[in-house]
Amino acid sequence: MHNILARLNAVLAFSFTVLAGLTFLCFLTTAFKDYSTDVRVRDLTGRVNVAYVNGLGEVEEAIITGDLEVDLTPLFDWNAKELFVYLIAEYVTPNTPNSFNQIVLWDRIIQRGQPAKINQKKFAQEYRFLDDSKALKANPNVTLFLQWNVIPNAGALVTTRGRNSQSIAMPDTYTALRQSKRA
Amino acid sequence: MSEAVLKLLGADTMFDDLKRMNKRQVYYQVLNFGMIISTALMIWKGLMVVTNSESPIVVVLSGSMEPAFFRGDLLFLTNHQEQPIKVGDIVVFKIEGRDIPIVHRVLQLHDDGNNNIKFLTKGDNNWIDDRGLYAPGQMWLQPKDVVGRAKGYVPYIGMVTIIMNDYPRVKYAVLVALAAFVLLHRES
Repeated sequence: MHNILARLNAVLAFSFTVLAGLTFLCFLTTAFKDYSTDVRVRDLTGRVNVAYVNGLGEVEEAIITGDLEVDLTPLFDWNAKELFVYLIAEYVTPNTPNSFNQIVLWDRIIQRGQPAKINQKKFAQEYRFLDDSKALKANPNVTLFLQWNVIPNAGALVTTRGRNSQSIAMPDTYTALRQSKRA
Repeated sequence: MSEAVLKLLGADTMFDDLKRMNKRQVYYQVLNFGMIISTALMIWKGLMVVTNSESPIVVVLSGSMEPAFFRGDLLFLTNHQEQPIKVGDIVVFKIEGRDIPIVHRVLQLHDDGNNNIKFLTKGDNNWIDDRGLYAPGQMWLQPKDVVGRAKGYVPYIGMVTIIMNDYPRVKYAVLVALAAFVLLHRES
């Protein structure tokens, strides 16, 4: 009975059981951890204009910038492989076809071992901020949150919102979003 | 020489177990085989009920979410309707006319307040959003396109199914070997 195949089978089965058990324990050690931390979003300024986008028609487009400061170093425990950090603009627009809106303006991937302090003066918006219900102009309350998704070595994919947020009232006039290079 | 190898592998006594079995034991082995298949099926269907997703476990097939997910990683999905989709969620969605579901992250979302949500996705590793991947003229995804949202992650395991899909012969060999083992091997 104790031929090579039987022995191989036993060794493989045992190592996989041990690996699965260890992975599960690794997941358990971080399963109930709070990954939240303080964030500072400050000095927001915004501009709104009309834009024409293929497939959406005439929409409103906004550009928001400001300062962003957070230290995510403490979030890297032994089961954190990567942080996907993103800045969300959240606003409500009653009496339009939309009512609740969330737009990602900026994101960053921080892998284990990379510096995890973010200190952005006048962050540059990476994604277009478009609103097809045209409710951005004079919107009194666009709130910016920083949020991150902890990607583990193995385990639960946790999404945490940073403490503190900053709201901005959008201007009530359209202005050019980008300075024209040709004067 | 070859006899010695066969003996080492235990192939010379492989069918001895079978010969020694009486009718009852053969029935028992067959029932045992059936139990294994139905257990696997029940676990899968049970997960579907608990997670409310038509496919509670998926294998990542592309590198569009690197460095978070690589080809061959395993994702656990849920799709509970009482938890609305939010920006930043990793959704697995199907596009009309495409067989393979896509795993990407929600980038923009508009909700009309009556559970009509439209959203746009993007892969972490892609430069632009997914409008080019959607059906022609489709600008937004809706909750009905979503298979599930990724809640759990285990690396590498899905490589097994990728290899089996890429090389069907491996799949049949493994299946035959497993079936032979279960049917021929007698518990002592």
